[in-house]
Amino acid sequence: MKVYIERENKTKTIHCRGKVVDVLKKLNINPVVVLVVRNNELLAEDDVLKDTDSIKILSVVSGG
Amino acid sequence: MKCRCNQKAVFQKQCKKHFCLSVEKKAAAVIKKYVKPTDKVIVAVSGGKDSLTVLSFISKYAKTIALCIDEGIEGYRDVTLSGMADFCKQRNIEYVIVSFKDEFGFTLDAMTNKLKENPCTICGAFRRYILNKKARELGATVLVTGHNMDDESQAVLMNIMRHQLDILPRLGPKTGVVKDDRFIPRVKPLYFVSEKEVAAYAFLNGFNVQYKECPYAGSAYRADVCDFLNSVESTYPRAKKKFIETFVKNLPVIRKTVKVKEVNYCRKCSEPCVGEYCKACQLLEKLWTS
Repeated sequence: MKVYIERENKTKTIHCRGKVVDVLKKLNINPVVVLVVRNNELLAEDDVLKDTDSIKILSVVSGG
Repeated sequence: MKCRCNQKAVFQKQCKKHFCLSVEKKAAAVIKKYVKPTDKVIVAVSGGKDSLTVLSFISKYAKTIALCIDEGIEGYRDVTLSGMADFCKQRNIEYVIVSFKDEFGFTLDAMTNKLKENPCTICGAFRRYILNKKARELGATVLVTGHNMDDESQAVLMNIMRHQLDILPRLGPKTGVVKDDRFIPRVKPLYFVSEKEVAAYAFLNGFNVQYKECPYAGSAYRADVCDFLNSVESTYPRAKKKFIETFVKNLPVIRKTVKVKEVNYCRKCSEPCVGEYCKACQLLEKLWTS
């Protein structure tokens, strides 16, 4: 799975499938502080991801 | 998971329509309580998700001008201000941009190189100064800001942990506990909307927002408090909501019992402040002599 993490401006490839919340756990990211997007669609925490998916993780903390 | 209307849930077990309505309802409750349709509203707009969302709400309710501050943060504010200008043009909202460089002679980037203070302390002092002064000059009766539930829970907790209890009465969805003609009362329509809800709302409505953190945000005490609250929230969902609701419920008692400092006028610029000189003039003095 390709994961673009906007806050770090980095793309990672991980081998993972399962619910959005499980993928975030694997990446050690608190679900409270991010939105997860696939094909420009917002995903719910219990949406299921496939290993072939490409997702974006957007930080919701602006601090400005 | 499905929403109660049987559509696919996209956020908090709700479909796009029902989630957006829930956010609009929370903001409308604050707006209707504290803003009259006849008010002249100035909205403090940075171009981020919070200010664009609040601007989209309030501009439908009262005559609104967007007041944007360009602090001079290279690679961050220039990007968000460009998004703000497009947003206002598309909706025929008047906007005014005031820069730190024009107003004080330095960008925030330059100020942080010259001063030892925390960047957020410097930025906050100058932003508050410009917002109140320019809003007054533009004839505002209300100053609306995009502070959300996360910002406000952080502010309450930080002030308690720093034992700055005299600041607590000034917080809440509407500030202005100190009555003074030079202070424009501030209203925060997103007070009961979490930062994640605002981000989701802005995303679902296609607002051109950069989901980017201010480069100075990590250096603040606030960032640690923010991480702490989000860590608690992940284990105990709705903890921030309960915290801020408890604070607001007790605000009338706090305002009655906690004494706030008296308002003075800065001996240099005549803006309202606590003490002899306002924080902006104190920092400017240091900038010119450093």
